[in-house]
Amino acid sequence: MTAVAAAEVVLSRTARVLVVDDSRVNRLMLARLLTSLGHEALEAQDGRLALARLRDTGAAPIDVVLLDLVMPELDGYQTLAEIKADPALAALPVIVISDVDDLASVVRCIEMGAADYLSRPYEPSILRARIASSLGDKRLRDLERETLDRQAATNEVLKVISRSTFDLQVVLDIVAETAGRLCRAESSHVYLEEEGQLYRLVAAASSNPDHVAFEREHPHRAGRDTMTGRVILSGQPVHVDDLGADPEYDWPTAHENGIRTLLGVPILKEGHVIGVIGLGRREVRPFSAPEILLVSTFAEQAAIAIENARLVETIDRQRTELARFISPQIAALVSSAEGEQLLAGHRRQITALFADLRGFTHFSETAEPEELLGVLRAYHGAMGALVVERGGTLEHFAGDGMLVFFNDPVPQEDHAQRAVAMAIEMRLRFAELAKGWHKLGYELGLGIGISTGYATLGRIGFEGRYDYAAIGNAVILASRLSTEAKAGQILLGQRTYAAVEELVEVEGAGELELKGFSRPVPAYLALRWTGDTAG
Amino acid sequence: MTGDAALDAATIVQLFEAVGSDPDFLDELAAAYLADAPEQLAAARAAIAAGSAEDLVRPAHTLKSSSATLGAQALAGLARELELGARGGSLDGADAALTAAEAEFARVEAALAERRRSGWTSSAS
Repeated sequence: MTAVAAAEVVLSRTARVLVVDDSRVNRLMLARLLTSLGHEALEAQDGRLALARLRDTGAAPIDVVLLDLVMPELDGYQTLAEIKADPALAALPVIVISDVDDLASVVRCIEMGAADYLSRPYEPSILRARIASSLGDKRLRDLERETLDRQAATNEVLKVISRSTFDLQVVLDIVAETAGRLCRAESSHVYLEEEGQLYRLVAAASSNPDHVAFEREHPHRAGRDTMTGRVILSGQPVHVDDLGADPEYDWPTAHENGIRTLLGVPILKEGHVIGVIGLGRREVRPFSAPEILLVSTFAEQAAIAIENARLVETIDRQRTELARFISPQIAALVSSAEGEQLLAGHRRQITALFADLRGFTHFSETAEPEELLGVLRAYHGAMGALVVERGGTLEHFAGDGMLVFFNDPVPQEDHAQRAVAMAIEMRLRFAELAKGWHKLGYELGLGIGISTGYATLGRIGFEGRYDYAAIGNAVILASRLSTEAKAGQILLGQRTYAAVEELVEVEGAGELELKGFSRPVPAYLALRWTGDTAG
Repeated sequence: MTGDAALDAATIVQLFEAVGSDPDFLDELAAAYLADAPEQLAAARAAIAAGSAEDLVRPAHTLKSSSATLGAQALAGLARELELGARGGSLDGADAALTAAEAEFARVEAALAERRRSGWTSSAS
């Protein structure tokens, strides 16, 4: 609603006016005129009585004072001065009544803070204009204060909403509860669109649980018969001043609930109504412009929260899907906040484990393709399960070879131990598989190399096909050691050995001449796990 | 003879219209005036007798404004003269003005009685 429309709402209201004049004739006359203008008139015959009435906190508050200047007890000037000196009354508009030939006193009163003046004899039209204008000023000031109060309440709500971005229900509950409370509505509902262009109740702050249950079971659709339906049709806030005077409206709960005045505000996404906030009052009292604005603000927040929740849901689904194709740690990394930075490339100490099969070349040349794939599936399935269990990052399977590393992207302080423990388990698990294959005549063995050292990790590849890869000596050494390892052997590099020597029984394997390494490399055979933690 | 009329006919018409052509209300208004104006005249008389210009201001002001409301222009004029003099701290001519006001009030009283009888619609005075 525009400011002009808001001002019209303000000006159209009636006022409670206190007439202060010692002349009974004048009081009667003014009261009569005010009543005929639709205002409520109260009378006081002097300033002292007027102040007593104004300060009576138990009585209905006065909106405007019409003040005669010449009175017994406390005259108009003194009364005006007291009103303006009282913080609780200072904002009250005072219109002084003057005689045409007494403009000097009018000037004095305006200087003292009078809002306006009215000269005798009173012209009803001038009286009306003066009251309306003073009232407008006061109402705008009241409005300003009310707006500030609402703003504070709204900020509180927005804070809560922003803290619960990932829990849509929390947000919707807060919206329903707060909109109802701040707008003093007996029922407050939030509906969201579901499949089939139906709008179902998802949150409610309402006194009647039966009606809430009914609403949950009976979704709304576009149509003139409900307020929600009308909002869906128009995409605009809809106001029903009085349901009793609206024959088109036909929804049982509102009538049963005694609801008379209804407000519906759309929750919009790119112009489409994705939900509706509906408020109802049991009395015929239209929702004010600031109230409609407030509910619209909540609707905007709800739209953002819904969008965020859907986004989070999408990311979760993508991550789950992605994890079926790539290592779950990397899937998580891709959708994490620091993902981009880590993907761009970083250096870190890792433990790399390389495993491949002995006898695989011969087997692949002789076996049927179906047999080959069956063996690989069983091998990958068994090893893959262990990788997941140990929290390793599987860089790739390549035929019979696989590279797994630890301590990246998820930091693992015990990366060397994890790798060695996993290797020992792999050997056990593989031995079981190999027994079955042996019966079928396949002689396959597993060789494993493990090395700890620095590597550069990050995204490699090209647009359309990227891998998360580790590049560095640790990876190359693990690969070479794995090639050196005989069936059933686990060869450790120097640093890996140093990290696990307390936990694993090893045997020196001498210094190995490895391709690409200028000097012989010391290596150790891991025999069995002796430490406390499971191997 | 409208210039000499105790009640201004145009003011009465406006008044009648302003209150929604409700003769009962004007009856009530006139009754209040006829009850209160003598008190204001008496208070003014007492102030002049006591030689207090200050005490004359309020009754003169009230008589002036309520007389003007009912269209008793001549009486309002006399009361205004009294009020202005008293505001200036002077009682010169106050006694004569008040005597004239008292006489004018008798005419207003009669004119109001006539208006009430005629239901406030007659233009005669």
